[in-house]
Amino acid sequence: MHFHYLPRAEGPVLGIETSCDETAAAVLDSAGKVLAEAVLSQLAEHAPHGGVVPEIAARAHLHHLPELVKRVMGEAGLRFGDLAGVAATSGPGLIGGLIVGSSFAKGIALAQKKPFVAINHLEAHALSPRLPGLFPEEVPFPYLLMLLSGGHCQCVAVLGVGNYRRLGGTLDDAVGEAFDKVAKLLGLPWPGGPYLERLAASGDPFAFPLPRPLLGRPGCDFSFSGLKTAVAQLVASKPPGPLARSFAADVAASFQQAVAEVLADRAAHAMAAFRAYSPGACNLVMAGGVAANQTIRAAVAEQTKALGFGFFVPPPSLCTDNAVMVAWAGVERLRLGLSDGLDFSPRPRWPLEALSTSAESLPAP
Amino acid sequence: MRVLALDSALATASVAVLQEEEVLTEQIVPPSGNGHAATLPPLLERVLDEVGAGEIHLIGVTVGPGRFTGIRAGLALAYGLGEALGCPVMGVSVAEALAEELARGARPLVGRELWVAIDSYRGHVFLERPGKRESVALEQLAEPAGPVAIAGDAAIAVAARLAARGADVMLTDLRAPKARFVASVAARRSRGELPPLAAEPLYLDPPATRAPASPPRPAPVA
Repeated sequence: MHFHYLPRAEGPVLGIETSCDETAAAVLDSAGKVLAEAVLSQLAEHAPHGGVVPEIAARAHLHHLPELVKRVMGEAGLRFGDLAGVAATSGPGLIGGLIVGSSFAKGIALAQKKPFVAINHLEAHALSPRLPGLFPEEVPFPYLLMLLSGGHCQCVAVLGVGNYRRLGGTLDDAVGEAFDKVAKLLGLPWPGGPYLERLAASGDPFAFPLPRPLLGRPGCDFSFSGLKTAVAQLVASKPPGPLARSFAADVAASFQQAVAEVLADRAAHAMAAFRAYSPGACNLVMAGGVAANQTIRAAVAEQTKALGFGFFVPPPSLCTDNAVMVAWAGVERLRLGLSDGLDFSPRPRWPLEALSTSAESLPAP
Repeated sequence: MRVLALDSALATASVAVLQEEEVLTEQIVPPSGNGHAATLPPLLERVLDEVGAGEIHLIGVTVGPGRFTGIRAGLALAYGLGEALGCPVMGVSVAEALAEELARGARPLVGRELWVAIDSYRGHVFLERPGKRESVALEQLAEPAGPVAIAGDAAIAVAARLAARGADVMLTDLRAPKARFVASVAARRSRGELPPLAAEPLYLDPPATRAPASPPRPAPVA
């Protein structure tokens, strides 16, 4: 699959991200250099509810976005008329936030007669390793993406801009969701992933024999609800009230170990499927908030080494939700002359494959 | 002064450009399966092509009460336009726009308070009346102090309730704002003829949240 890179709209691109609980804006120049960026976390507003509340998120996005965009434009030293285009995450995600971000972007685009680019959030993650300067060498197409976050959990063959094949994904919870739920069971604050990792550091990863769902099964789907239930049963055996720290640490470490083993196994299967499909392929990119977990990272890294794959993990600020990746996806799309109509309807569900420009089907693994 | 106005607080959306007292253009989008976030921007583009984006001095937008999603679509669009055009954005309430339409109509209200009732779709109504905006159950509507006129998309239900209690009620045929009147209210507000109103949604209801099923376990202890 080849694209001709015709620089159509030269100039900086404004990116906007509002698909979950982070309000973010960034400006990149046409080469992908970050001119300014800002991320505003709504953590404090959602934390009392133990999770993201859609209506609270939507209200906060509308309240904060205009100032945030003004700030990055000011820091970049640009006026709206200088932009080559405006890119906004338009799905998948929480519809209230998607409407705010995409509508604001459309307002700027139509006032300045600039192209509007509706960005698929998953594509933004998928293309993020291509941001210039991130790695010593460029990560060329095609590569294998493992997207592991609180909302998403899938293995994707990234063949080109707009050209993706989903190799597998979760059958129930996303891996980050499982981390958060287990953390909650242990009495850790929300979002619990980082807290759980810290607690696990002082625990015994083999203290409890937890299930390894789908381990060794063909394909690269995931399942985490059974593992979470096993932890819930383990914890339910204890009386109400705070858990003993040593017990909680052993549970956390055992859970993390189970997840790491499963992810490493799934990664191996995904690499095999990907290589069968695309023989020259030799790189794996891990992205999403869970990619920051060191145990998981080490487990997947070992598999890539064993199978002769290069292993790339974008820095944490690019793995969690951000607008740099959205603006970058905008740059990549505008380079190909791709933009969207102002009638684009934000989509709470928007699978990556719906983007694909060429429909080659992947042989069954 | 040229004013661009948009309304997407209720099921029908509209866009208009007003030059002093003259309506240069007005476009109305009937309710459809596509949300306002999809239908309003292309309409605005056509309107701006017609009148010229550079010629806009002020943007008026309805802030509710109404459907939160539609209000946010309209406000976000207005904010983006305002930032990129460098012109101020003025908030206009649904009742202000409807009152403006009544005042300019053939049969202006005389001696009646205007009560605007909007369906919250959550078992109660948003009621906007002189000096008060509230979210209230139909069963708990206040007693009008004198004769009232009712407008808004929940007008029939509210008028029926009040009439059944023997209140002096007139049901108007105004169900939703029109952008041209949003524009004229915005212009008056910018001239200081109306009290200020922030260009932010009039939510009237706190965000819907669900209480956790069971109390969370406290943090582990050594």
